[in-house]
Amino acid sequence: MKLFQLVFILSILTLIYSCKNNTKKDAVDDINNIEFDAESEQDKTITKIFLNLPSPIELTNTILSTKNPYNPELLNPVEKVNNYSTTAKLALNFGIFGADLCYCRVYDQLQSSISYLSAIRKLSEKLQIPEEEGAETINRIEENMSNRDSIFHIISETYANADGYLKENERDLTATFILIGGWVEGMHFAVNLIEENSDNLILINKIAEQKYSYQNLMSLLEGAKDNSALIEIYPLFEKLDVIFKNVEITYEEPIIVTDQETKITTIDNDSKISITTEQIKEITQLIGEIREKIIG
Amino acid sequence: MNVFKLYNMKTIVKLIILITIFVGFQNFGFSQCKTFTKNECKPKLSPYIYNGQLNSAVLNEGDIAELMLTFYSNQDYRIVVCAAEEMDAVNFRLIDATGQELFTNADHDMVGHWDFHTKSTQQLTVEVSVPETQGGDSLNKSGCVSILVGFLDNQ
Repeated sequence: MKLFQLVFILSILTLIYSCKNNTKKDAVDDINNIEFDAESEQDKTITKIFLNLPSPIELTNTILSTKNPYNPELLNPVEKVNNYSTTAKLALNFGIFGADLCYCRVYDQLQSSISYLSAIRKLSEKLQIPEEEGAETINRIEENMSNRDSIFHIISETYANADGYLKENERDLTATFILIGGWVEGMHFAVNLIEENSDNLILINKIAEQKYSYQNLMSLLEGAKDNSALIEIYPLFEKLDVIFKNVEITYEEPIIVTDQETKITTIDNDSKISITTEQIKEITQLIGEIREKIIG
Repeated sequence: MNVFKLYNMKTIVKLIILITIFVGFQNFGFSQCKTFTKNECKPKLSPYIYNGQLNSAVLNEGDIAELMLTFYSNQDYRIVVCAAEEMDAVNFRLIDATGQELFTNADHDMVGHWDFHTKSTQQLTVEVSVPETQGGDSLNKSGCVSILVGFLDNQ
């Protein structure tokens, strides 16, 4: 009889969950898919908000389009892969190595690409991401060494599989750490390239434009700021947040044009970016400090 | 020890099994959604490169989901909004930081993807809404909805 009562209670719970499965506020380890009710000016109820960061492929692509020479000293050496053991360090450095892999790919450094992919595979194993989900791509990259596009797809799949597996297993914070590691390394490339070309306005603007990604990054970290893994670096992220909030970007009214043949729409609007040399210096210093704490 | 007085060991084991099944059932839903996204939605991104981030959830009629993402200047993007068969077509629109609607698939036969190019880097919101079925006697539909983003290699 008691068992029947338990089954009944669990059935009711299942029913409630089915009806309201998108309105619960998740725990710290589920911050990537923030779920809550929010009222907007139209009184609409938003069931679910996804916050994404641009992938390291996009970030490195956009930063390195300035065509600076290949500089391996910018990368975190693959040998350091064995230095990491905590989940946070493993995931953050998964992101760091992921961006390094993209850097190698942009400069057609295929042998280095393989080394970095191997390092990512090791980190996947340590993060207990099953091989079929996270790391069955070494042979494929070797087979496709001459095909740049396939390397990008392999990188993309590696990220997608890790992200999917971690979210499926309610390890959203670990997935977030991977994204953050990738973002930090992309910014590390950008600020170092600025030091080589201090008058490079395109690059300066690209750094300023990270203001938006940074808003998402801080929202992702918000629910996890008390996590022990973030004790050292969260205050640095907060300092960076203050700087980015003072970076000003304004837009003209967009002109939307859709090509009727290709069905591709262009969003045409210019932006005006205001960032000072001092702000760039502060961003450079903080990115250096954050990266050092991650890779150290 | 009081616990053992109230429920014998056998009942507790059954309870644990039931809770495990209950929790597992919820995870199974996400698993199915992930499989659906991988098999049915991801191929629709081709030839764009997937950004690697899984944005999928089980939504009900009337639900609204939003994806917030920075889109970089002079980059070509594809957004795929993919819903399970039982959901019919879902509405999606792209909104800029000022709240201006840049695109809605309602103007394009409820198409499931949209390709665009941005001239300047900006934070955009992809808003997905599940229309409510007209008529009061039909059952509330519910199913997996995924929002995927892809980009082209402009190098």
